[in-house]
Amino acid sequence: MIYDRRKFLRGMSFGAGGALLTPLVHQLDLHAAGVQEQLPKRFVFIMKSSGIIPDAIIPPGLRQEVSDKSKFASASLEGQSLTPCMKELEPYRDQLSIVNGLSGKMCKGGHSSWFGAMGVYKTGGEHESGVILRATADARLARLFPAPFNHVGLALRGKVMSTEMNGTLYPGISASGPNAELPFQGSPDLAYQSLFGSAVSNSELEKKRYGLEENLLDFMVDDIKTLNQKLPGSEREKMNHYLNAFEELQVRRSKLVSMKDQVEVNAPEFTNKFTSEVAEVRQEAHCDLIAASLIAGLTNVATLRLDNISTYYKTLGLSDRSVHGIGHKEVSNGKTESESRDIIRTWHFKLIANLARKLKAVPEGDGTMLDNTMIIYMSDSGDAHHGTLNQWPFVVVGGCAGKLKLPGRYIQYPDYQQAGHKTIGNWWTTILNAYGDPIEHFGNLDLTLKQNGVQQEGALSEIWG
Amino acid sequence: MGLPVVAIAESGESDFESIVLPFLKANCTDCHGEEKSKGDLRLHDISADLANSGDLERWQNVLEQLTLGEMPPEKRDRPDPKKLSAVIKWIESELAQSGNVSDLAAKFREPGFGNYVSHEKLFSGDVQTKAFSPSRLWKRNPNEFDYSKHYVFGEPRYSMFHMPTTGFGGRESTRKDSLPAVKQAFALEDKHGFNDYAALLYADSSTLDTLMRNAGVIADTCLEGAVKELELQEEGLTLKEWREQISAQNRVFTEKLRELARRKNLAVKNDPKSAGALDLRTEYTKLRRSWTAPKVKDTLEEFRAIAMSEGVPPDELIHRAVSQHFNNIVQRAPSAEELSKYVEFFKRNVPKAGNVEALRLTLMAVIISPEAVYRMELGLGEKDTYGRQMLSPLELAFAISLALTDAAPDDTLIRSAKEGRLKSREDVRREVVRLLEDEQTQRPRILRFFHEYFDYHKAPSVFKDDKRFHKKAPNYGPKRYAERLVTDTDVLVMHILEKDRDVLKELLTTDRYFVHHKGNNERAREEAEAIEKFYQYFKDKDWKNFEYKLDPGHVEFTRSISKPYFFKAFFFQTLNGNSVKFLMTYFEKCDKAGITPDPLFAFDKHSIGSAYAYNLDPETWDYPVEQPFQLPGERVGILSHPSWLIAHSLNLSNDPIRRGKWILERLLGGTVPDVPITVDASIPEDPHLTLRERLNVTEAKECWKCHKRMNPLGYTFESFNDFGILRDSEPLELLEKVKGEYQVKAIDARGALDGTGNDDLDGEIKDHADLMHRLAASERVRQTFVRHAFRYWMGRNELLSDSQVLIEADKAYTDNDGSFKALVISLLTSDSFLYRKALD
Repeated sequence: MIYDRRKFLRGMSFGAGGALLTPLVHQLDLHAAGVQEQLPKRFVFIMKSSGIIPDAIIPPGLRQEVSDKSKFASASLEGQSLTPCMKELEPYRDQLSIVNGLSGKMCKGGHSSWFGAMGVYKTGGEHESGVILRATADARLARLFPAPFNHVGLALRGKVMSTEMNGTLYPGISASGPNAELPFQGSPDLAYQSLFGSAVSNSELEKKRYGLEENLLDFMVDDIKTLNQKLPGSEREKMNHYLNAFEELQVRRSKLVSMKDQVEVNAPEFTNKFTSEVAEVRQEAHCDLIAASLIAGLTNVATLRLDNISTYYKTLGLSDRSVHGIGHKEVSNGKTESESRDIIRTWHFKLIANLARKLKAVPEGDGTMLDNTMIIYMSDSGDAHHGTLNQWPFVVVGGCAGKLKLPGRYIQYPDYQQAGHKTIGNWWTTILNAYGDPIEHFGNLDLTLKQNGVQQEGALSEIWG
Repeated sequence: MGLPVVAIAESGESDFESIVLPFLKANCTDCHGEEKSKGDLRLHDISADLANSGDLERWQNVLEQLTLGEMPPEKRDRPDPKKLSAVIKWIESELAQSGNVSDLAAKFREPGFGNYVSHEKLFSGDVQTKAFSPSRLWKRNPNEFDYSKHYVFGEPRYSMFHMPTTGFGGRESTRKDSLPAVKQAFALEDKHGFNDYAALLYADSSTLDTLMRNAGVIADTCLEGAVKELELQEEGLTLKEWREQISAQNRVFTEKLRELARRKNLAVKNDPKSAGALDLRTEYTKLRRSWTAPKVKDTLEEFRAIAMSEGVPPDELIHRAVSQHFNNIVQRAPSAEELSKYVEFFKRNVPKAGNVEALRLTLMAVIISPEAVYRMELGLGEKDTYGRQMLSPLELAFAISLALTDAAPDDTLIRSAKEGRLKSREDVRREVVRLLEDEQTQRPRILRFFHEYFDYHKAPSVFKDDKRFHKKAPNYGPKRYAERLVTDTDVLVMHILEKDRDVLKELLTTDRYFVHHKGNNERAREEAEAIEKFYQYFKDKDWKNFEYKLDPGHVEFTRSISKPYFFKAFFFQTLNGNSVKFLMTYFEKCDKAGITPDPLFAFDKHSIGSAYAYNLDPETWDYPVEQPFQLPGERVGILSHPSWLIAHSLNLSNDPIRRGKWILERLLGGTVPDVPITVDASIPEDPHLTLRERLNVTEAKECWKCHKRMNPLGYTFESFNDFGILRDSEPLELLEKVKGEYQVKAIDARGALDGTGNDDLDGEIKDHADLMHRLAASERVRQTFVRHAFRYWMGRNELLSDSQVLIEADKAYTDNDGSFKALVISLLTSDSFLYRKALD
């Protein structure tokens, strides 16, 4: 039975959007191979714009120790006070990691590396997100840890310069496979409905309808398949995207039925936070949704496009300049670039600390849910407003399920072109390998390093293995 | 790991060795080899094992450079075309075999890449291939969705329109959203240029998510009347009786509320701060919010009959209901096959769900059906000798209607299709001409083409710091008025379209503009006269001391001179003492200054700034009632319009590169590759230099290769600042002000034109005016415009096989003295529009 279903789904997944189904196939494969189901690992990718200045996240007490940028450095964060903007994260210091020194010059620099940031290759232009060569790291992890929603994408705004905020957005950072961009939801209220809508409805009528709608989905799947036989090949692929959406929904619904109580208990209270137009409130709402959907088991992987360069942080007192203006060193409300950046960063880390607090409050196994979670804070333009990508800083919160030698450490790889230098290709390879994706090397190589004979492939031995 | 090229060459002969390797050696590795590695690229060791060697990106790069003709560089010998295409083929097939996507195939489908199809070949006349478009599904677009969502309940078409059709273009009217719970499911990205390309858009899980929700809302609304009726049946009431009860309750409530309002107003008048007044206010608000009369939409008889049936309704009833709904949603009648499919689905659900819920599911099924998501343009007509199939009459009806409007085919089109009068090119021409000339038809697609072609409608999305705007109006920058500039440009475009002569030339070179005008001089005169009458009427009255509530005679007078199409008819209709003071203060000022009042000024602070953007000073500007008119200084065409200039500027400065790129791509049909990764694309900040001087960085050898195509065009617009105001010097805003003024430096607006293919036109350029006149005289520019119109209306980039269609369209345009209408008719009756071919 399982075999048939698997074969069927695998056949389906050869369509362009088939990647959406692969998690299930993978899970069935695991099942067939007799692999025990493991505790889910959870991942939250928080993608800010305008870069993370590497120096700004080094704990003051370690500055001296790590000042030689030509050497690898690894220091414990225990007892270190964090740089002021990270104060909110001090309670989680033992589960915090700061990683500096990795480069990403195989990606496009400038305002955004688009899919390159989590896909490790060069793509996109100033406004266009470019071509999708492969699934991005978040989507690959989603494949390993399927859930009713394999991947939850939430975004304050769409593309790096766009001003769109509502409805489905395509920020150009996540993809489930070649040419298959993952959609993000911009409106917290719509995201709320998608994630929790089915569980918070309690009337008998709605329950009945939920069941009946299964017939509707079956009917649609049959209908589209019949139609597909009449379509030319090029267009069948287009229709398959729609068909896959139905298949995905079927799978999701069948899972959700058994999870109803769990989802209901964990659904956040629907307040006007979810309908606010204020950027900072929306960011909070998105974070609440992520926390709640992780806790409810609705998803294991969420990507949050936290802001873009057209964002204004008015509530933080930065109403004069957008992130773009600040990135261009313009004075906003009397604050210099670095002061403004500090204000924004402090806020971001507060959001992350809140998320961590919520996950830490949930017991799981011998510890808490935060132990099995990896919250990765990064920027799609690496190290600067116009990313040079000589460095690509990462701040990680969470115990990473004990798989990585990260929690509680400041790690700094030697600078670009120095012996022992590593890239974000190694970084993502490490994470993927650690959680069960045996890929040899993820992403494209840095050609300059390659020409210089630098061995680039593989995981970071300092972090894993 | 890739073996070095040489090592492979020694083993057996493969295509790589016999074709690719010699090519690379002959054309590439001199500069991209072991010794030199220009652009950080080396090819001497590139691996033949394309997909597994980690050289994928290098191969993609090679493919792109070769296909786009960017490499080898101009100064080198051109490679043998046969060998070149063999290499390209090899890379493409290797990519395909290894399961990789070719970057390039995808890029070529993007609107920005249309120009890579050789202009010379397209217009040479040598290509005789019969044109066609691929058989395709076209995802529905957001405008179509917004428009059609208003008749999902089968209300008559066009009933929503209040705005008269103006001109050939047809401005879009705004309507109140009667169904806010039904969300846009087909949003397009908000980016410059054309967005609605059939090949690029598909429905995914988020589309379905939205549609499922919409389907529930629509189905519920469709059935709410019947559901209520069933509910009432149990109480022994009819819907009519219930409504009467409600309206009786409502009368009682309204009376109670009115009575309370009377008491409250009295108390407030006596002493607004007294405890009694405050209590009454609270009480009033509480009461007002305590009740809203419930409203239930009538259910269509077709649906009601099913809901009211005992047991399974007869097939005939189900047929009627499905047909009705299918018509409302998919906007055509269902086929017999489709009917029976839905009927069967309905019946399958009845036992478990009951009639109402089964019908609800069936209604939902239609709303999320494939054809409600994708428009089918498969080519279901007859096959011709070239292997093409014409669109069927019904497909044509949709294609024609959606080419010009956002609406599904009107009754005439549907009837023509049904009655066999939509089968030939002549039939299509008849319908296209009819729609283009019909007074009642809105044609928003026409003006939208000019939006997406020129991109001037993007002005409001460029953030500008209002404080920088104008020293006389520092707080009235484009944040407030950019929309107004776009509307002014729309009026200009419509005016030119109405005349329909030398349309492109006029758009590029007109020296006459509209400012705060609706494009209709007769009405403008009427409005000016009304303002004059208003002024004369109140001039000698004590208007400065008017109470808020006016003498009814004043109100009556003002209403008698007001027309609904006045800019601010609202003010005239709801006149009070304050608005009289407001208007009269302005009119009196104008009278003293001896100028005609601007019908927008007095009322609309959002427009004050927009006058400055045209170098007009509202204090002294004598509003021309007759427009278009000549603005101060030298402005030439749409590209001199503040809306276009702002849309193509940065937050804090001009953007000569973007402006040049626009001209290069949209007018000259040229191309420029993406910024290379190695480039840190930022302009150095030197407070003593003008922007142009700072852009000198782009003249470094490796940058100039591409920048020389853009910068010399964009520099000519340095005669404007980034708000579109004409200037002769540039303030150095990064330096401290001296005596409250910025230091300035003279601007340099000289440039160069290259690429018209005409030696008389190419060459040194004096300024933006010189540039625009030369561009307007260029055949290449005209043909590029035709290419863009083609892309917009076909929803795809042109192929070489479209050559004859483009030549025809260009000819239609020139033969008819530059008539845009003739161009549109030619495109919409072309083979590319009419024929389809299935591709696999």
